[in-house]
Amino acid sequence: MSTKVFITLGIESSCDETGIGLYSSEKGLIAHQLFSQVELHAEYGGVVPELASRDHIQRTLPLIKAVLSEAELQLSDINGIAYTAGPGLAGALLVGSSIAKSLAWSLDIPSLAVHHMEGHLLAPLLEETQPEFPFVALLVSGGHTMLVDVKGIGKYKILGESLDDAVGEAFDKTAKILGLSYPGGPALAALAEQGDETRFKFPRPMTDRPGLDFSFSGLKTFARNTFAKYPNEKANIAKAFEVATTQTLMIKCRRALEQTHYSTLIVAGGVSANQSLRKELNKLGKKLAVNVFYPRQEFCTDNGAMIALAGHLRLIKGHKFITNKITIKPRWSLEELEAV
Amino acid sequence: MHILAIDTCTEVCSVSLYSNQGKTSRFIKGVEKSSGLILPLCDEVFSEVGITPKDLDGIAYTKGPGAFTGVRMCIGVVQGISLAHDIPTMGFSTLEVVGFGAAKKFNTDKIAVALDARMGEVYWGLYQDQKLTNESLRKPDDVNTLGQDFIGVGTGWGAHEQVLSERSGISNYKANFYPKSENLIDLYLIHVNENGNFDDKLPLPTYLRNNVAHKSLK
Repeated sequence: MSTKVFITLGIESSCDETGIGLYSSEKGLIAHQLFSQVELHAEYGGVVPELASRDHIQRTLPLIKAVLSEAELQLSDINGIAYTAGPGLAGALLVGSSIAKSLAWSLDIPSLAVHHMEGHLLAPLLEETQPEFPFVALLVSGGHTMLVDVKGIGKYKILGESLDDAVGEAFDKTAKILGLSYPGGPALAALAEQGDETRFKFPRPMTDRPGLDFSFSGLKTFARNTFAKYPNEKANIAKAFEVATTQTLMIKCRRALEQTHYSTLIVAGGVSANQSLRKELNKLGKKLAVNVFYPRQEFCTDNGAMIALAGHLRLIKGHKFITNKITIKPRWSLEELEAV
Repeated sequence: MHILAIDTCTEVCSVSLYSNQGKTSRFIKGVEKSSGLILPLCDEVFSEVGITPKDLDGIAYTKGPGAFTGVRMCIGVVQGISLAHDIPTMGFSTLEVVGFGAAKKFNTDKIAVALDARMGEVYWGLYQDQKLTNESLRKPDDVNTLGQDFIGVGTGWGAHEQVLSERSGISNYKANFYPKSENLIDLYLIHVNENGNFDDKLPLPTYLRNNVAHKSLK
């Protein structure tokens, strides 16, 4: 193997998914594997942080071995290790970071802390057709809802974010209100397909005033009140909720694009897998002559491939940890990142 | 032979490297978080001995019980170091490491180990005849009745002094007694001597406290 090739191992363990990826400067993404804990947490109706950590410590090492074997590589072929240091669940982050840092230390190669949301934000770069900087990023997941002005790698300005529930969280909570099984977001979206869009009209929160912040907790309450009054109209309520959230997100994306004058929008995070949202944003793209990019479905949710990529782009520019301290940052703003 | 021993399961961060120079060790007490210490301490001992991780023949570690995050940090670090160079690992109960150390120090084979498990409980174990038995999570008023010939050790004896003493019948106890990685080295060497080489393949934690979440009523 040429010495110029740089291969990065990425480790993701910030919440309820253990993800490992391998990214090569020569071949791009060469292997990735994921273990989802969804079944483990389902009977608790949500992610239990201690159980998440307990599972990560069992899964990470076998997954690293599996990814290496898939790529037909040895650990000695790895040039750097990137791991999710935050934001996320402290205990879960600590598992990935302790394994990543000690592995890098033992191999005597550089390691790097990756911002989980930067991983999501750069995930569309894993695809063949890639967005070019600058762009507006809509990051939508169970833990985050934000619009980011992306001028380049590490050059991020948060244009707006949720003041309460993240959009994915609102999906899950509303699904729970409707008695749908965990994880509720995809179940709610599936139920909404059978609903009548004209039956109920839910509010589009914070769209009647300027600004790019979001608020979804009121929408969840609106769904609860409607369900109490019309308990036999679950599908129609699911539809009204989904339409209200996707249109709210679309309205804010339009504002962000008009404000920045950018012609590219990227959408990432678990909720970016939602087909209604994609339809709404594609329509917006056509209308504004804006290119809209998404990661492939499997990279919408948490994964190791995006961490390998995000870390790789920094490691090849010489970014790395200078201490051997095992570092996590459960609370970490995108705006604190160093530009590449 | 080069053996690395690591413990971060309790309020101690402890590292020991066994080589032909004997044991080169670091032991720091009162640690709130071992995350900032463990690898720098490893760095120190390796550099003092003049070897690198790939020269290791084995890793001994405490696998718990203890503070959940401390236990997982210990396991995570051992997983990472061992994976890098395919180094065999051997895990020991934190209670065994404390019991073994106390038996050696006080020259007795009757040790009752109690580590403070918080939430009004202790991690409990008896170290007798070079073996750990009765490893469990208990209320302090639910421990074995033992008698005066036992010595009590571990932080549980500080947190629940009176109840433990009354219930166990032990009046001689040292709360200020912690796991030491140097003792992990001895345990590793004894084990290899008695049973030959061993590798637990995937280091995993022992928690003892497993009731950590309530199931949804729905």
